[in-house]
Amino acid sequence: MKFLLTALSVSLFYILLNVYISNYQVINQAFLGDFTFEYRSALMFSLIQGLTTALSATSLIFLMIISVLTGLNSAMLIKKVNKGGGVHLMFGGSMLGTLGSGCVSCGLPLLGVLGMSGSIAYLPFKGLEFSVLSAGLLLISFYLLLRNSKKECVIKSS
Amino acid sequence: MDSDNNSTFISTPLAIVLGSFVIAVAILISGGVIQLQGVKTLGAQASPLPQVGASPLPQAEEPAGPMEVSLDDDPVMGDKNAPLTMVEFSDYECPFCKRYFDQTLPEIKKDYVDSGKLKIVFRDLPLSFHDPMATTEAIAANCAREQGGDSKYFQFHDEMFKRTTSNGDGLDRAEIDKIAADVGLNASNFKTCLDTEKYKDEVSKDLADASNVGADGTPTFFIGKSEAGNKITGTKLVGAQPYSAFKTILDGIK
Repeated sequence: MKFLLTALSVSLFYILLNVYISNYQVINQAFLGDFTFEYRSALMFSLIQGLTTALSATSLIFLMIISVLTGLNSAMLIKKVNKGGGVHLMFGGSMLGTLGSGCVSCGLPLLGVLGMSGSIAYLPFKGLEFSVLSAGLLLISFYLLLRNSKKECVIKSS
Repeated sequence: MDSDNNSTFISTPLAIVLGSFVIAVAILISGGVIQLQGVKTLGAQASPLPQVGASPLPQAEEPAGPMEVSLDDDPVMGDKNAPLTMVEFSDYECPFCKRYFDQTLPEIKKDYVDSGKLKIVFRDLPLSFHDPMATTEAIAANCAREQGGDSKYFQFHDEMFKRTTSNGDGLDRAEIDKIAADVGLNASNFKTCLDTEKYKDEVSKDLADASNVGADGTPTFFIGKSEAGNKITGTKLVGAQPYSAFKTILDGIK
């Protein structure tokens, strides 16, 4: 249960991160400025709703897949950390996913933040490469974590 | 689990994570090179005509709050004295701009523009990867304006968005000429205007202004109170957002 809650929380956080990256100026303005709770919540709700209008169907599907995989990977790693495995962060695959998904305009928000917006459009699949690569890496990562997690249960006979 | 297994348990996914991070950085670096070329060609690609900002367009440092955006002398939809103004940076070949045009603009027009509350200033941001057609279409719309003012401009603008399939090859020159004929433009004057790329500088100026305010994708909107001095201080909204996002921002302007 705790595992699922962690996975769900991280997945939601990942989706919100994509929303924020796409429109961080207006969100910052709403939350740092003199605006009501109703304004802030209406704005956030409409921007989340905007994922369905401002993304292509493929981008939206990959965003969902990557967010779920990020959540699952994170929950697995947190579980491991809690068992004393040390602190390790799993950002690479998700970072790629953030680059490739969340393209709410012709030009990528995160690459825009990095001053590189537009470059993605020169790729053959207009940035879908990032999403596919990201989903693949996260899938492999999750598989390995799962496999190793099972190994952990093996009791060696002396 | 012994220490070897423990080490494998952590190191394998960590290796994947690090590997993907290295790939990400590599792609970003190569992306930066491509973008430099892309920025150089913004407003200049496939055209021998002079351009504004021939060197890479500088990315403006964006302030945290609303940003000052020039209206230039660009086409205005709605009452010029409306209390609110929205500047739209758009590309006729961008599928998200078309989606905004199809799904959101009609509602904004009905509730805000037609009632005199809002005027929309349309500025060109033809993206280099949609060129040469994106720039050609932007110039063509300005040629239409030359013949019939803002009203003819938006007639032409509407027809282009209705007919394009987007992504750089949504229209061709023959279809543009057909649109010109359909909206009642003088064919000969329109052809001369477009062939000589008469409004290339105008489009390039929009590109430079877009870059200065950090509009690096389309559609990008700046929404604020109308001000004296041909500018607004507007809230930036990126993407083909739903009507509710525009409504929230417009209604929230104090």
